Amino acid sequence: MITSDDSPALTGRDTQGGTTDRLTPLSSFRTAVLVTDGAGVVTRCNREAEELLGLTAEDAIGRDAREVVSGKIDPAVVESAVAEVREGRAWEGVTVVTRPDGTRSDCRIVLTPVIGSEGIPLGMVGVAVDITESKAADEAVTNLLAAEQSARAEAEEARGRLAFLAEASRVLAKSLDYRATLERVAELATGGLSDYCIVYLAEEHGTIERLAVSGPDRDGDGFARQVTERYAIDPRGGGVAPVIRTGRPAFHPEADAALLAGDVDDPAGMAQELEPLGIRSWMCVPLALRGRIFGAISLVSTGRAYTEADLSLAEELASRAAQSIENARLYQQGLSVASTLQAGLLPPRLPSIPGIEIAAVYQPAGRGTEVGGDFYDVFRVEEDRWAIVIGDVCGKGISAASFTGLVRHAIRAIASHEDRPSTLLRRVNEVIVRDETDQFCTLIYGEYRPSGPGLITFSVAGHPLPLLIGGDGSVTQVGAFGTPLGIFPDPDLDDHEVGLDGDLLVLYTDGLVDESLGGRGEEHLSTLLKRCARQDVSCVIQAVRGPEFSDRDDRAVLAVGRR
Amino acid sequence: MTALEGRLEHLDGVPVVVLAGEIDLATIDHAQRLLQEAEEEAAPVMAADLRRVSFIDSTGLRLFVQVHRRAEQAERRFALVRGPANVQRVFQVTKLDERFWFVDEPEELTAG
Repeated sequence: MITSDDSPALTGRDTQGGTTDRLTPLSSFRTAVLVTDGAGVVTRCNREAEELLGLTAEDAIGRDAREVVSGKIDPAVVESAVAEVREGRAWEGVTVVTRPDGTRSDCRIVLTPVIGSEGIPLGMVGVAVDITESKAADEAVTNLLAAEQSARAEAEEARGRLAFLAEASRVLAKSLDYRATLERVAELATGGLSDYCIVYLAEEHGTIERLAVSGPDRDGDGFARQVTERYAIDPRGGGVAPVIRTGRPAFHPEADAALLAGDVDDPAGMAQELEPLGIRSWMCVPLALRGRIFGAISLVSTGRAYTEADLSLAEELASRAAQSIENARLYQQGLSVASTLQAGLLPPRLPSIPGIEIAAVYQPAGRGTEVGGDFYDVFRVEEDRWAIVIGDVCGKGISAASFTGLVRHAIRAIASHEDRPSTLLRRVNEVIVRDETDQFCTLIYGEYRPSGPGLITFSVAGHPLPLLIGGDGSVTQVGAFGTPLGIFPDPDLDDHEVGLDGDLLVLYTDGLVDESLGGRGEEHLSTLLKRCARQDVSCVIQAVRGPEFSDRDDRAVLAVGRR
Repeated sequence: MTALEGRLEHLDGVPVVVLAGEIDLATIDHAQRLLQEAEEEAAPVMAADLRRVSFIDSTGLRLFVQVHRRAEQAERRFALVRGPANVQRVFQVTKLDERFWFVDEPEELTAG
């Protein structure tokens, strides 16, 4: 439940389900803060705003901002402010706000649109200060500017993270040698995320080797590498050793050379040598595949202190690096990689969503050894908000699999910042179009709120429409077609809603309706699904496993029903 | 087994790649070579004739997206001659039928 004023706003929820409140400074200004998404729906309301408007954050969040301030601020003022913000311009003014007890306050209000790349509005930050009794209006203005800048910086940082991950995916996809891959990881991280980066490999016999050490340009002689080379790592020591032993990251926003040297045979000696670097902050994340830890990445900052957001990014980088090493290994061994690699792109098991049940099946194509691009994902966006995704990346092989990873991660990274599936998909599209590979994907993104009226809100991007199996045995398509992602900068995407009352919703990839059947694939599927009326989701999975389906293409199916 | 036959024809100077069969991963290289050959002529208009295509998968779709994109960049036009219903279905699902230039007959490309 988002009720306190330190709840996440535009960006703020990390993937581990914890919260990182990077807007904290706002609350110290004694200003009312109201944040909306791109559609004008309130996503955050702090305590001062609750007091000023006479409602709780719980009441405000999820409602249109204009509705929330209605009756409290002159509608003409609201309309002119909204018009400015819609044009991407900030609005500033002093206006009367009627408080819940009927008293009237003069408030200085600043509304700042937060614009993403390509000019897409991500939302608006509105801040208000009661200046009726304040003799320090100038100070208030200063505070407002600081608040605005902080909100802007945050939006830009979020954008930078996505760009970095897109670049990392692209570079890693090209590498087929794991040593080369890890060296690239070190280079990528130096510049994007750290001043120094060390990649470690755990050897079979228990020793730990430094595979790559990279530093900033000014470290031209490889000072860091030369120093570290002189010291062997003690697998029973501190530093990187516990990360590799336990698989848990080490996170030290405030670190020094001694802490960093905790993993070598002569800590004092190395600490002394590293002292001139001026180490500020250190984190170390494990490299793991299928539960086995095979190395770690250390990231060192000599400038700023690392935040939780940096740690999330480092973990994401490690996960991509690990996947790409696995790709390289499988490729080199010339194995039939289809099921193995695909498994890495699918959730190991579906999470349990209150009120609904979901079943999924993925079947790789029967011939060939290349990896298909079908995927699905089910995850919690935030409290009371769940995402259901199915998609199909065009193409096969390692680059398709890597692209699938990019799409999946982009969706997860952006989901909590967008309230509508179509706007989320537009932003994912921006990331892919910018990636400039020739790849595209089709997908359906849907959301379900357990506390809501039992609807799934979804958007379709170039994908076959979902089928709804009614209690009466009818099978109908729902939604409307849209453009695939990654082709055009301006995709056609809409939002649709479907109720689940007594019905089953079936999402599938087109491998299921092989068009070589003469265009009767969809008809055939509908006939098969009729028998699942008033049954549960497992019936759908049984129905689509039948031998009558061609194994020419991969296929994935997700069935959703009420519990 | 899937197979694709194709050849490059000319209709009043318009290069038309006539394709027959299935366009998928197994045949995509063949289709790509033919389209490239047509593109190299740098004619203001070129086309792919899909009337005898029986199947197209996302690999085929991607190929047409690429040709379409290159044509736009070079300020040339790329037309597709509509295929049978199941082939057109792929363009409808992806709404590419609204973005690409489709004609029923290649002769429409030379008229006017």
